[in-house]
Amino acid sequence: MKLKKDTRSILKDTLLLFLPAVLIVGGVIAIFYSEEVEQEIELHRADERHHIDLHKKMIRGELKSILSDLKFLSKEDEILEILITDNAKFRKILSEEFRIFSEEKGIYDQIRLLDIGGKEVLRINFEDGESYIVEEDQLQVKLKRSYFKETFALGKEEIYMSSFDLNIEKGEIEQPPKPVIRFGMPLFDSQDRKLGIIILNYLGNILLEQFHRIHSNKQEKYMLLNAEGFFLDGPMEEDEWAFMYPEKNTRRFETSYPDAWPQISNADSGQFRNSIGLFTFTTSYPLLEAIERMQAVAAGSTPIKFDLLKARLNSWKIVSFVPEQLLISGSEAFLKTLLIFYLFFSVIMAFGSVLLAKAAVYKRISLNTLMESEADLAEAQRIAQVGSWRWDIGSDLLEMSDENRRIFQFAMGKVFKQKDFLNRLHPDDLPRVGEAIQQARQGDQPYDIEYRIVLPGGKERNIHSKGEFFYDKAGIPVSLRGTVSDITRRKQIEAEREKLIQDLESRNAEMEQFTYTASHELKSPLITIGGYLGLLKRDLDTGKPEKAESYIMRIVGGVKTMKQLLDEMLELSRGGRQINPPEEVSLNKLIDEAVEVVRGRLTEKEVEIKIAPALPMVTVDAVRVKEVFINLMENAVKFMGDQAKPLIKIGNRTEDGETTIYIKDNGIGIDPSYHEYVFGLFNRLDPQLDGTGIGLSLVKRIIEVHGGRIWIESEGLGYGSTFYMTFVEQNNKNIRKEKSDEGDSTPCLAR
Amino acid sequence: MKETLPLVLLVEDNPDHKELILASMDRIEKKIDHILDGEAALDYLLRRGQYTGLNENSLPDLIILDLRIPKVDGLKVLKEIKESDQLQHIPVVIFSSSESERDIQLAYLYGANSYLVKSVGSDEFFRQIRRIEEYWLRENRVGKK
Repeated sequence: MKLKKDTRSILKDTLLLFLPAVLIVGGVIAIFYSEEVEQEIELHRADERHHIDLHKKMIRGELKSILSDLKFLSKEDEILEILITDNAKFRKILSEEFRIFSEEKGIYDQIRLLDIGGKEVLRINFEDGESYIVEEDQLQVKLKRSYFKETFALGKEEIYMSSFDLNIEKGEIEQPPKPVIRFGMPLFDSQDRKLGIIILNYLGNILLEQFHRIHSNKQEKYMLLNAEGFFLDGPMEEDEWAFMYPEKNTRRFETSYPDAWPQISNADSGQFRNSIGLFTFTTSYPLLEAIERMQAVAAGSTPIKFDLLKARLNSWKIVSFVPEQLLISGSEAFLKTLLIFYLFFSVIMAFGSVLLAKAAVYKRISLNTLMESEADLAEAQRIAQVGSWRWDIGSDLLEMSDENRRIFQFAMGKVFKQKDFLNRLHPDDLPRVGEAIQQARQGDQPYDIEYRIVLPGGKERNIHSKGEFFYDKAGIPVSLRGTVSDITRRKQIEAEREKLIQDLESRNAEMEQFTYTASHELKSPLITIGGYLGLLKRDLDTGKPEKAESYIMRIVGGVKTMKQLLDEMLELSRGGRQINPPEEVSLNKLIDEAVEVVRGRLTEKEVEIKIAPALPMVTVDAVRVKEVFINLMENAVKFMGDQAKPLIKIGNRTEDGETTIYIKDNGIGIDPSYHEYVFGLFNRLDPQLDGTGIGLSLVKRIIEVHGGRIWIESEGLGYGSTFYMTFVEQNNKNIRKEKSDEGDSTPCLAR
Repeated sequence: MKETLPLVLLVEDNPDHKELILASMDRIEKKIDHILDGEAALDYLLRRGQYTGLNENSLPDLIILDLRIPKVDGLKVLKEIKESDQLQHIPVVIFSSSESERDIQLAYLYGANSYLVKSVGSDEFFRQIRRIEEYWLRENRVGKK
């Protein structure tokens, strides 16, 4: 399925590459070719114009030379003598002159003189390269010929030119056909009397040969047409001179090239291209042009006269035709080259396109795979909460994965540099990180460091980062790449665990201390009991019972002490916890209840007690706190000494949201160096007084469990003592509660 | 002999224990001074406080010291004795109900000459006292100056 899809994409890509390339190159080739064609046609146009012009000039030159000959011959002195007197001697001289002239020129079929009666007076024939004088008896009368009539009708210095046609001898077209043009001039005597005419029969083949010579090595067709459009010279020999033959009357230029004729017949000259090829043409007025030419050359001499209208009518068309095929033959060769190139290009392009398309499709596929694996990586990083980064040293750019940006709160998609990272660092950790980078760069140590960052909101996070430098071939560091993970939670847990361990250790130590101190304290009365029992036994055994009673008293005392110790230790262990739920109570009420408990001892020692009337409300474990006051009052009574007016005062002072309660007595007081000591477990200042040394420890523990503090102020022996305790006040309940919760959650005997 | 009765300093806060000890030390003729707490013991030995001016030549020949005593702990008293030039030659026997390893080790570290744990049974208790008396006052008498 996938393979099919890939093949289809490759095919699609191939076509997308191949078709435009082939079309564009095809277009370029077409433009090339059409320009080439245009250029070739333009060359042909110019060439044809040039050749047509050459043909025209040739005709003009030839005509000019004929007219010069005519004029030259007409000026011979002997002509008049012969025509007037028919002098044989002059005739002979002139005949010989004309014969030599004819032979030298070689272009005149006949040179003739005719008298006014139309009779030939002198005639030179030219045959096969030789001229000869026609015998007198062979001369004919040509009175009725149009050339005689027309020439004889002319005035002085006027010239006759016949149409270009085939010579006719004795009523038949001479065979082989001999194209001729007759030129004639009337002859006058000194009194301007007309005496006869001179006629030159020009051999048309001379002109036609020169006509051919001009385009002898060319493939284009050149045609010479007369005014009616008959071929004088044309591509098909049988079409030539068709006007001479009644049966060929339809063989005209128009018949062969019907589309071209109207344009050619209606204009003097021009060039045009139609579906079959390129036509270039001009009109030649042979006589007119020749005369003009002669007059331009021989300015000032007697102007040659001619019948302008007739000269105009006697016009020829010089036409060249380049068939379409010939016109673009060069271009076609070029086109062939182009097409071969195009074919090669297409083949190469086809192969190239397939390769490129394959490469593109595979690249796309691998890009997709890459994108997928990048997405996978990002997902994995998000789950693992590990980001990755790359610091390019050259550009200083810091590339980061999405997770990296999330951890550092760097906006997605924005560009960051190393300094942005350094700005995030906790100022205290900045030097350490810098040093770690430096050491890693030198290869001393891998980059593996924990540091703190400060996020935009001011929150601190703990980061663990590992990295490695990458070097170029020269050993210069190029980049530092690595990972970061947010270890804030772990750090917190670690810290909590550390604190817990410390707490436990200190509690264990406390516990241990308590255990052996307690065992020691408990052993003391046992030793007493055991010891006196021993003495008692000894005395009884030896029959000396006098001291027995005192020994028994000691034993009873030991037992009492033991019981007291056990009770108070139990009490102490409870003191570490709150066993009753906190309740809101009036301190006055609570203290009054405590006073009732110790009333007996107060009365016994005649101790006066004064309690401030408006003590605050507190939320406490009332049973525990009542014990505090009982203990403290008992303590005060116990250390009253020999005070005459024993007094206990209970009052309060409030400062900084904290209520301080004091119990002041005027007893023996406590030396300041023992103010802390007395709160220690089993610590007693006077061993001779009753007591276990637990009472004040218990008091301290209960107060502390309630979140308060307890301390003694006394100026020393004889100055009385004041015990101060703090309670968290009613409106600060929350704080107190928090602390009492803590107490609940960590029950411990030794606290 | 008369003029030089041995002097024993007993530092013991428990009055019952004091009576038991005194009742047991009956084999050798001697003088016993009893002190209740650590602070007073040091005052007595260093002739200061309430004991200022007491005869300097009448330092005890033996000190029996309890550890759990008020005001200044027995170990601290021991340490001060053994660090004092005038007192360090006096044998100190720790007689305490504490069996704590820590107490025993510290006591010997500070230079206690002997450490005895008070026995609960009366026979053994008396035997302990008598042994201290016999050993330190007769067999191992430290020469008197």
